Amino acid sequence: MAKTKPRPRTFGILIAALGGEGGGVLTNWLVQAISSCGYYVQSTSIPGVAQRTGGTTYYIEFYPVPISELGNRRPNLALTPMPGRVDVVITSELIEAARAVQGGFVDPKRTTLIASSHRVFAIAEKSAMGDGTFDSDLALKACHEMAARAVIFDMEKIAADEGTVLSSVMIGGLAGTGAVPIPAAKFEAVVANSGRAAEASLAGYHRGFRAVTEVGAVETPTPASAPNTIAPPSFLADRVSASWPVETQYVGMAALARLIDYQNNKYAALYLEHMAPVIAFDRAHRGARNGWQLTKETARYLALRMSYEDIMRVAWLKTRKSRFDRIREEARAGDHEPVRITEFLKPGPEEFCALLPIGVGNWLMNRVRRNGNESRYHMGMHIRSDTVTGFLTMRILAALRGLRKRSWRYAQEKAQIETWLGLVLRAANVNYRFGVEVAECANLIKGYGNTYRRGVANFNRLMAEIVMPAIDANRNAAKKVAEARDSALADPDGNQFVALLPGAEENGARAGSRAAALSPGE
Amino acid sequence: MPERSFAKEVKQLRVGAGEVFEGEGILAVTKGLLQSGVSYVGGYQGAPVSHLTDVLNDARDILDELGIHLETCANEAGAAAMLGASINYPIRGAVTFKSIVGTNVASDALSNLASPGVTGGALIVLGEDYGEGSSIIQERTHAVAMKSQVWLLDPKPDLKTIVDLTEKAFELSEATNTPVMMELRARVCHMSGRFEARDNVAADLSLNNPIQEPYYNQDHISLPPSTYVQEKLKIEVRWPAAIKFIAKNKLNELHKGRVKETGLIVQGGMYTGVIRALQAFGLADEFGKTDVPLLVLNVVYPLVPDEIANFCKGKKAVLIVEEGQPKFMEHEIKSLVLDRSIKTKVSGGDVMLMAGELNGEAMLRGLSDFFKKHRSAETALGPIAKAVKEMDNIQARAADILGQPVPARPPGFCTGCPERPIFSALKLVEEQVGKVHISADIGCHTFAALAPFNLGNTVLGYGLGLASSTGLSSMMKRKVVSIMGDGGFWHNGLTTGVANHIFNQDDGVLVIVANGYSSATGHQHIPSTGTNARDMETGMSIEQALRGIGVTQIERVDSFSVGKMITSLKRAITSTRKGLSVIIAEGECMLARQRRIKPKIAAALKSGKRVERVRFGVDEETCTGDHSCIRLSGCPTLTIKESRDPLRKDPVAHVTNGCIGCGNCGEVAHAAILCPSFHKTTIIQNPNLLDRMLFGVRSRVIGWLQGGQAA
Repeated sequence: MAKTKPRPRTFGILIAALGGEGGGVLTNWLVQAISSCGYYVQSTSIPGVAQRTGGTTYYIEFYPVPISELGNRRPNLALTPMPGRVDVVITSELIEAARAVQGGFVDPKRTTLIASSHRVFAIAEKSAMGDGTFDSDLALKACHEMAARAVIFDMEKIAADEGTVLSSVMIGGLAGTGAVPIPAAKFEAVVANSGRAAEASLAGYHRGFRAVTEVGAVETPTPASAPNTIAPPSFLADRVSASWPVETQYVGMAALARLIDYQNNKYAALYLEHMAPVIAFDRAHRGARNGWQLTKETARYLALRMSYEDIMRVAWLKTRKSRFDRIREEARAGDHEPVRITEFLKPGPEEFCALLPIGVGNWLMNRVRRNGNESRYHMGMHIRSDTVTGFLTMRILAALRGLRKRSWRYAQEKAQIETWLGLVLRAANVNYRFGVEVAECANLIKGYGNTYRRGVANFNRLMAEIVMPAIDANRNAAKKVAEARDSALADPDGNQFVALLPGAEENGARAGSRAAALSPGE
Repeated sequence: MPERSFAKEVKQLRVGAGEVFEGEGILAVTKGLLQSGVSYVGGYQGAPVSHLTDVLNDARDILDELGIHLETCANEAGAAAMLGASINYPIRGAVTFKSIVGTNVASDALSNLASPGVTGGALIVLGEDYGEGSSIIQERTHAVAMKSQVWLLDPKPDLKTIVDLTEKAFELSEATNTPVMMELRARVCHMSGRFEARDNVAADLSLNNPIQEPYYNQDHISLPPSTYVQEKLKIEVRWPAAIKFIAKNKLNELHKGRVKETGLIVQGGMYTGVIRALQAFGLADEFGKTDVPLLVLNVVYPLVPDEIANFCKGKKAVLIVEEGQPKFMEHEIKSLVLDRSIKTKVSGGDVMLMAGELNGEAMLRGLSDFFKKHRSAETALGPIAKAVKEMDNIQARAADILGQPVPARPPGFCTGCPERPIFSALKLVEEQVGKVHISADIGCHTFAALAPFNLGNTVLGYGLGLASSTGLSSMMKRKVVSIMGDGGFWHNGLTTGVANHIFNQDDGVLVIVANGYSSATGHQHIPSTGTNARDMETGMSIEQALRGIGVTQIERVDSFSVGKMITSLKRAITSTRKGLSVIIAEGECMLARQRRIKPKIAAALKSGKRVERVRFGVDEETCTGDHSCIRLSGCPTLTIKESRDPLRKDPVAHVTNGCIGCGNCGEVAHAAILCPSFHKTTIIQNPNLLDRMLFGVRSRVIGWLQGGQAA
């Protein structure tokens, strides 16, 4: 029996991109290429307001039989994709691929998924006060498991390398998969005739094509290494190797390097002394079974807290050679192109007190705080650190680190650190997890200016209103602490945080709050 | 110059009879208008028909040749009122705007157009912005068509049908003395396709052959007693004429099928989606040949009773596929079936989605539920249930792997947008004076009501930012801040908002966001742009207009000066002085500006001229991962990346190469006392001798101080 050719069927291509990313250009290219085969093709899009940075989709359908052979018949081409009936999904970003998967448009039986692996973070992800990013591994897993074939690689990097746009790499990738019944040469021809930037686009096309068709054409990214790691001297490093659990030593080494860079060897030794009782506790309480969480988290945050960002620290970090090199690289400055660097600094009373002795600092802060508006006393300055005078100014500030340990700010930080460390151990004594949660609360204190003040205030309230009463009552408050910490990091207004604190008033009749019964259900 | 140029595409508008036209839906409609012999066209921009006005402007040469008058209307009311030209004179005209919002604005004029009726054909091309990607409240235009008695076309999504109907619309309009609306959904407006063209037609009366004498007829005035006569005419003459015309010209399509017991009555616009669902069930082939009979209504108002009745007769059940609510067609068909004692069951909202777009998934589920509810041996449930089950399985598995919904991606301000610093400033002012009620408006600036700013308590309509504050302005402890774009200001904000505020001596603060264009819709010119769509100088200014109607407290502030904006806003909000104080925040739309200056910079670079390029950066060593800067910006290029510091878990802020150096980051970091991590990098391209010498000396000294080699 002669083998019958499968009946041709309408072909659907869904493109998801971010506004202004060239999804429209890609769509036009594909339509041109398909049209050049004599096929009936239809594309559509819903740019709307989403073209201003939002997510937007384009949808193409075509019937892979030349119009000339169709007679009076016209294929029915739909305007919206239907889950389970899309042949190819192309997205310019990883979460957009996951979104297509979520919508059911990626069918394990039918769909080829071509996506760039890079992330463009959504506003909710990047505005979180901590880490609010969606797990990329989950997104990748969903793409690979749900697609008949998934081709995912960093198209953004290729586009940047070739000085072209994402769309040219995307169309190259698509041509490479052979998932659309159109000869690759047709796609290439469209890109080659795309006008002014055709040359760069074509380079992007070929790189995209090869990324799919040739093994090893995409470099695996090397993990980023920590900048400026100083090897700690052996008399300190040995103390870590000798007494710290093996699994935690990398934190200890990183902490030593940081604190030596921050102040000196003696300061790093102080860190080890602070850590000693924590490690002893962890060993005595079967820390291994808990993955040495208490040691790890305390060690991490203690190092960060002890290297608080004062003027000297900022000036030091800003004048390092590695930073100058990085700025040139980031700015893509040519070898002979001069680069100017303007620093935006606006130190406030706390920053100045970081230089002043305790007595003077107390006097000054008392005066400033009397009216409760310390945020008013900030001095704005623009320093050109690429000039000799600007650079020297910064370096002189950095050199003032000798004053650090006698300063008002140091005393403040020291007291806070000691309180926190004490509470970590006391909480751990009630319950191991509770201790770890208290250790992680140090993450509340970060930033500068108002952000810093807010963080300290939240930290103090959390300790005073949740942690201390629980310890006194010998009650495990691990869950409550985690909840409160997350809520303090959830919104800068602290509404959620305050609502969680004990004694938060029931306030049902708030202005504007509508009865739950009137909200739409899911 | 608008964002998108159709200079190349409009050449298609010249193709003649027998030639194939290939292009976008909007362009096809324009071609349809030219083939219909229109004498005048106009409109107001708004997605998804913004580009129709752009196309018309770019096609000015062709319009001039045909003697067609083109008007950039002040708003949708102006556009609808323009159709008044067809009341007394046998000239055809068409206008376009966004619906439902534009139709709402236009409804006064529409009523007064529909009542006396038209002599020459009048067509309104509506961008029906309902469903995914819509920027407005979700309502149907159908209601307006019914209450004003304006016929409503909803063509099958196919360029040939759309163009044919455009031509037929004028004939229908003239045969019934009634204006006609044609609703085109977003996907149709942006749909590509092809059709066989006809020649363009020059109107008898046009710019080339003006109307000689004015015509007066009291019957055409919307005043009693004529209005009573007009109301009778609508029912006794125009409606029957329309039904006759639609039936005679077969504007609706009957698709026969083998199935006897069920059938579908569908809005034209839903046709391809319905066929796709039937294909999934194995009830239609690739070419739309269907087993289930379809009555495709390209005219959804008025319905032709006999067509409906004949279709229903003998069937056990019919489904009305009608997008959105109320289900006007379903209600009417149900009552018709009842009146004529037809035994057919009429389904609609009971199985189809009541609220929301009938996309692929909704269509599949709705039709499946219909066939399940009205079982028949002709439509076996096996393949129907299988199609739905497969979709359910895929979605369930995907949800299972992902664990939680992927983050939403709402629209926001573009990179370098001059509106961002205004809202950064407003947010910082709130930190000082307390929260204020913000009466927001329509435009790109509405995005401020979303994350990360969340500034905007109500949005009541285009140009209504100030008007919608009046109920509260004397009732709030702190002054109410109203926002208005320059687009909204000229659309109606000047009169409805500002003039009336002064008239009532109300209290309040108004921020006018002046970016120079109707930016959200694609940079169409507005009165204060300085030039009109024909690039003629206009000499109109917002400040002069404000002074002219008696506003005395006016301050013009550069959008990017966050510090100055904070001072001005704070002063205005905390001022004890009564009355309206206006802050005009000036900063050209960055997209428009970039489009203008990019070629110039490229040319300068090419010719070896010295060019300074600016971008901002964040030092990852000093960034503590709090992301305050992002919450005060939302700039696409200010994002996060994994920290390389092994001790830090939180991602650090990061500026991508898309940064165009607008300066907002630095200004905000300063004004908000955020952090010292921001720095401005100025790259000097094609440096001169002095630049190179200075750079050499500095690099050497600094390199020496850094203890390494000179760079």
